[in-house]
Amino acid sequence: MICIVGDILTDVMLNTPLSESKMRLGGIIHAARGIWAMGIEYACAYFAPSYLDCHINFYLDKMACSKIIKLGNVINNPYTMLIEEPKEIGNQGYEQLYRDTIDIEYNLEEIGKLKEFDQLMFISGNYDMNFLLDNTNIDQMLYADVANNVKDLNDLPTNRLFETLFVSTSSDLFTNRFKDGQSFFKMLEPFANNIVLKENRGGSRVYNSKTGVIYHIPAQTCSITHSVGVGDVYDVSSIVAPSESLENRLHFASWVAMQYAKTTFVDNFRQSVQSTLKISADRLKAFDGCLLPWEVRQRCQIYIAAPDFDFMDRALINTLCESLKYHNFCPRRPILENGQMTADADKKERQYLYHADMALLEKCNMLIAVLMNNDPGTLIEIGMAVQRGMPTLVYDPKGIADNCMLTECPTLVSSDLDAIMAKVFIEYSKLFKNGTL
Amino acid sequence: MGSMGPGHLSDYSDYKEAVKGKTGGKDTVYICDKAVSTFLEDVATSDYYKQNGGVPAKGTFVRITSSSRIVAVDKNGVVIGNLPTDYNYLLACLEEGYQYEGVVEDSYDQPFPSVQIAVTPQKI
Repeated sequence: MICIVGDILTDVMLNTPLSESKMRLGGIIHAARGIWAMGIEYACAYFAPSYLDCHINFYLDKMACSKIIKLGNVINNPYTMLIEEPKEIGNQGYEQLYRDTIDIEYNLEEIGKLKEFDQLMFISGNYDMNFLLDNTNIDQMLYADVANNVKDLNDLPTNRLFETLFVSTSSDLFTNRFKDGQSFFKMLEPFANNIVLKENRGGSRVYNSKTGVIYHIPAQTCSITHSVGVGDVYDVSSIVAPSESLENRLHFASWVAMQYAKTTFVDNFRQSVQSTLKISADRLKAFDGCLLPWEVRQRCQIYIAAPDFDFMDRALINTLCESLKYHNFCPRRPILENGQMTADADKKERQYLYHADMALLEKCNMLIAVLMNNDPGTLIEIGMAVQRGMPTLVYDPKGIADNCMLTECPTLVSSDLDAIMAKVFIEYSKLFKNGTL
Repeated sequence: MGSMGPGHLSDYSDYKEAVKGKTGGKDTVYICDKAVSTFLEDVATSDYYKQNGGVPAKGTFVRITSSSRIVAVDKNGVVIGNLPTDYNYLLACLEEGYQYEGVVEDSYDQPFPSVQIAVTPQKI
């Protein structure tokens, strides 16, 4: 039986324009929902404050968890995570309350019970993973996701070899150490037999430490409801899915992850997963998906057509560009790069700015317009991009696009920034796969 | 000042006070039960366009099936176009026994071949 090990917190999605308020158990509970949906027997070993114990026991009972072990008591902290933006359009604005004052009282007797399981999946957190690993047997299969609180190699456990190590592009370890795929995997090779680099909506890259072979697993990228815990669901699905091959299991996991991201309603999630389980691995592998490695995204030069003037409120443009940069895309802002036309501009200045902006458009391979008003420059640039055959997305947060040329010409018009971001991945994935990026 | 939300965990199957779409285990509408209206992709390179030299007329019968993409086909099974990958979730729905049938809602040959379809689900 597999046991999921880690923290259990309360996730609170805040009531924002992007999401409705929702309170759920988080941490390793996301992975538990994934295994429950697959109908596989599992256990949970957790750290949490004592006031949550009754809620955790109640909920895991509903999730058909076979065995619940409390490894330690969290003190001086409510273990509550506020989530400002659940979809990971950009940085999600996670805030763990009182995060600087977390203490854990370890329960050695309960930790000893970890030896009972065939497989242990560690989701890193505020606990000492090395200490727990000292309490495992050599014949147990060990897995770890090091998304949380692992900032550098020194923080990685050295006392045991993992079967699979999961790292995501939003982790500190990735941010601090990634230069290119090959050297990143080489650096992590001593820690695991397989390393899975999760590249968000752009798929995953897998490295086999024994053979040195790297292969890619596409993501099932679409508009989502949330992305909280989706990576954890991907991890566990790739461990317990019904196939001997890790590659097959990862393909399956990409579908389960998509289904988890589509809903926060567990019965609907389970129903979709149960249907997916009936589909053969070969069929899932043959299905098209989104593939866009992290470093390739630096070639994704995106012309931002918008009234990006200093007298306008640029908040929406800034949010879009920060979200694109978060995913390693390159937004290009012509007015910031080439200059803003002065009120009394002469012919020479107008000529210079026109040619500079057109040269920038020529360098780009996608245009995203931010429709804040009927700015003539923005509308003309949309038409020019469409005429060039460039993927052209219109972010229309105020819903002002009405003219039929404007609503029908572009690749997509949407007031939903998540839909825009998903389309960026999908369109660039097409260019990447046909070799034109 | 009052506090909002249910005040306790409410995202599980047999939650007694479930309000569909807000709490409990089920959303207002299960994703497979939703009708689909969308433009198709790759119409110009589809078998239908190649065989007929044009797009299907408005009102033409369409059905959803899958190959390496989710595709719309006519009554003879000829592929008219791919659904956007946003609809890949339909693969599991088809596996679950859902069928999606409907019509071509709109179609144009110019400025480039485009077809919009509308299909509704039926559970077998």
